Amino acid sequence: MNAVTAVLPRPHSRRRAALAALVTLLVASALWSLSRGAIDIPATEVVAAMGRWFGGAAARGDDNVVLMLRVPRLLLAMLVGAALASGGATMQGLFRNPLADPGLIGVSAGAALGAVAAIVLGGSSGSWLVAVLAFAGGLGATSLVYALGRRHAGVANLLLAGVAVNAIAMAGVGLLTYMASENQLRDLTFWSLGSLGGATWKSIATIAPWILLPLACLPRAAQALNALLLGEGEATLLGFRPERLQPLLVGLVALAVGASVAFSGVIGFVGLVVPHLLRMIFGPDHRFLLPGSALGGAILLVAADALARTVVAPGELPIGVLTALVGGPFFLWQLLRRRIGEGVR
Amino acid sequence: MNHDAALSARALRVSRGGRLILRDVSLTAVPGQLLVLVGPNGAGKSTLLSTMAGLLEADVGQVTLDGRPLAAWPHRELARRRAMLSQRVDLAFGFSVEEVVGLGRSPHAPDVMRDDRIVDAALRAAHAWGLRGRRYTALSGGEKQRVQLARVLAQIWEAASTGGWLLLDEPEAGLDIAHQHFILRRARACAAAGFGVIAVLHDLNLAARYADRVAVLADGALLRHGEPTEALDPSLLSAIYGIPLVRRAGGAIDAL
Amino acid sequence: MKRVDRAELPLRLSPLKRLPHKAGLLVALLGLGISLSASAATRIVSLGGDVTETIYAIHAQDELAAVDSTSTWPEAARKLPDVGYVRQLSAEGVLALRPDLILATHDAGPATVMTQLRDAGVRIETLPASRSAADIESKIRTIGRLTGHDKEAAELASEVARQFASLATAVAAMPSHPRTVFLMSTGQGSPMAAGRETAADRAIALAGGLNAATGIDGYKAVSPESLAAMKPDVVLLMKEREDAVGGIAGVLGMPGIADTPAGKAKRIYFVEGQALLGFGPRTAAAASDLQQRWAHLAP
Repeated sequence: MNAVTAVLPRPHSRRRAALAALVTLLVASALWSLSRGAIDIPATEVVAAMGRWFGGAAARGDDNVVLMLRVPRLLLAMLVGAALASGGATMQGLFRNPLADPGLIGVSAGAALGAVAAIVLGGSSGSWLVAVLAFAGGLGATSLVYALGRRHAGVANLLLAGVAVNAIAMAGVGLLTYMASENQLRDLTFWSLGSLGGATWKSIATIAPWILLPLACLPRAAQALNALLLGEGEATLLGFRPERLQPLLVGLVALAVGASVAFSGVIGFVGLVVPHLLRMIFGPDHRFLLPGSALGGAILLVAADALARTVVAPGELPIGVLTALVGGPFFLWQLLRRRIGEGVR
Repeated sequence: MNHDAALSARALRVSRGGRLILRDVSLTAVPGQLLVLVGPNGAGKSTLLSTMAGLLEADVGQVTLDGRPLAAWPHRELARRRAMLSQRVDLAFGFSVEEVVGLGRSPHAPDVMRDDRIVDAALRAAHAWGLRGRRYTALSGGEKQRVQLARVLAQIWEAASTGGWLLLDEPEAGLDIAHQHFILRRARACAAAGFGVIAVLHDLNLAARYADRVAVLADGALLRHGEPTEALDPSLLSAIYGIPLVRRAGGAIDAL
Repeated sequence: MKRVDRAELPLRLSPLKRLPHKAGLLVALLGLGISLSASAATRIVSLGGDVTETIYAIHAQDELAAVDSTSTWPEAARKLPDVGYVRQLSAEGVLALRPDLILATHDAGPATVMTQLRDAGVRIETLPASRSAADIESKIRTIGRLTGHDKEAAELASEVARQFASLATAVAAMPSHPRTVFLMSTGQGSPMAAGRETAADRAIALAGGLNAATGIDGYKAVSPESLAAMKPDVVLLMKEREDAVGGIAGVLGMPGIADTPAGKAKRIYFVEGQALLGFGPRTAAAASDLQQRWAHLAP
């Protein structure tokens, strides 16, 4: 028996090493990001500022820039990146399609409708109304998609319902866009390009539970998602309950992605690109793909945000632009290698 | 033969999409035997198999395993006792062969050493040992079939003594003659090891050669159930298939 | 793209070093005294084109550290560091300029960033929206007070008030007020017209015209039929877009224009957009110019 198991390859240890490497990369990119910004603060100063904060010493110099601006922004980038990428990986498993992303269940379009409604109809109530309505819109649209799509078993109906709800939501967005004033149009445009600039400790405290809960729960469905890749019938034969799993997964993704879009606008490509990339490293096994995607999404967004803040300083590029600049060529490259549709390693 | 360990269908009535597929079908399979379901297209063979697997629900009647209705079995426990090899499994994601077989271990509590050992043994039993390390999507149809067989074997590997069930839905479809016989021989080996095996087959001669019992279905009804020579009665077969069939000297069923 | 080092700050004293030794020492001390007192409001970040224009008009530009992307006049303002679009600022970006005072138009945002800046201890003075002549004068005086240039501001405010007064007289004397439409051409498709609640609407009124597009709110696309139905005597566009639109000929070629009284008489005027619509120090002069152009139109 021992000889037999010795001969079988152990990909698990390779993958664990890769996960550890991703964690290291995340920490490194976090430190790098903290030391980048419109204000030139050397990395040693950044570390010292963190030290003073943890040690309870009085803040000095630019400490507050680091602690009040950069750290919350870093945390938001990590949360949103992890949420979007995990959501994308889950959707790709649920729909058995490597091209799926959370938008299929209507959460992005619903959130956009909510946000645009807040901007155009809400007067100057501020960004809180935008966040609340965007979140509500995202969850509302997803609920509608699910209610419409569950009348028959299988994800095909879910997909069709998603297409319909997306179309209606975008029509609503179009109508509100027509009604918008010049300033509102500008606000809309920037919202739809995404920004992590609204990150404060208070907003982190508000958004964190909506993202951390799904991030903690999704990996527990990893085995089930693997089985689902064989088909719903096969998954049922293996002892899983696809009819219970689907609403659970859809709900968790809607929460995490809805909260992300509500606070940071639409940030594209992360949900699509990161799981693809990670599937090339880890293979389609969700037990590694889900945590790997969360880490990968966090790293991508942390790096993209650091660039967004520094490339045109003292101005700032919308982060959605940077993720698209990374995602677009990557997609093209994949197309050229003719690997769309296969979750190859 | 312990009849309490039987997989038993009682007075099943199943309709799909408004059409009646099975009408009042009762059938009992026992462990240690290979039961083959035959009949023309549309007879309801696959539907019967799926219902006995617990994948479909009957409108009327029930299926029991070990005397307990399938609906009363917890899902994972049922999955540890019975596995089904479907006609076609579409897997477009780049799992390795071992990973696909490893999926069969999902209903069991995780135990890496034991699972690796069973995956290994299942690969050998399915004659797929040489496919180790390869990507599933790169395999040929026959190779994929053997990997899927290994997967379902891995699923019920330890159930041989407690009464495990292997259900096969047209496992020989699309395979060359060598693989067809290979699959049926594997099915017999499983029966010999103590599993109950039920297979839906198209080919009457494979049924005649390998089955311990044959059940003949047509138009949603069970017409005959018994030993192969008795159940595969040429006059009955001619009636349900609509062409004259005879048994040749060697025992083969052939068209006139 | 400019990263600001903390080392850049205390550079103002260096030109004084070139003077002869002892006199230099005295002048240096004097200079130190002057620059210390002037550092009461030394680094100003200006958010809003009209705010920046006003600062230059009252000669307070030496204290300007940075402006926003809408601050396009005068040319010199474009050479200052740009903190981005006034409604989408970045907190750290603005803080990098080490401002002592931020003068912001009412539009500046987003609100969370403005809060972050206040929490960082920066003084922010927000100026209310300017919708009338009186608003403009009050804005000039406020900016004068906040930058310590009260005298220049008072002079400018008086001048602007005088210009508006004579404009009002001229407008009152007009035999008729021409029907006017202000158009923003947005590439292909129907152009956008300025309806009620726009700066263009108020500027037209100031200059003695009548906005023919009062059936719409804000900027909305207008079909050629709607345009013809408005029967404008004059069509206004921004001079900044003159080349893109193809000049008067280009505008006459737009569907619906040729059927309007303005089109038939070729009364297509290009006006300085920022000057007229910014409701800053140049608005009075720009509105007067416009009034004079159409003062003699036959009813």
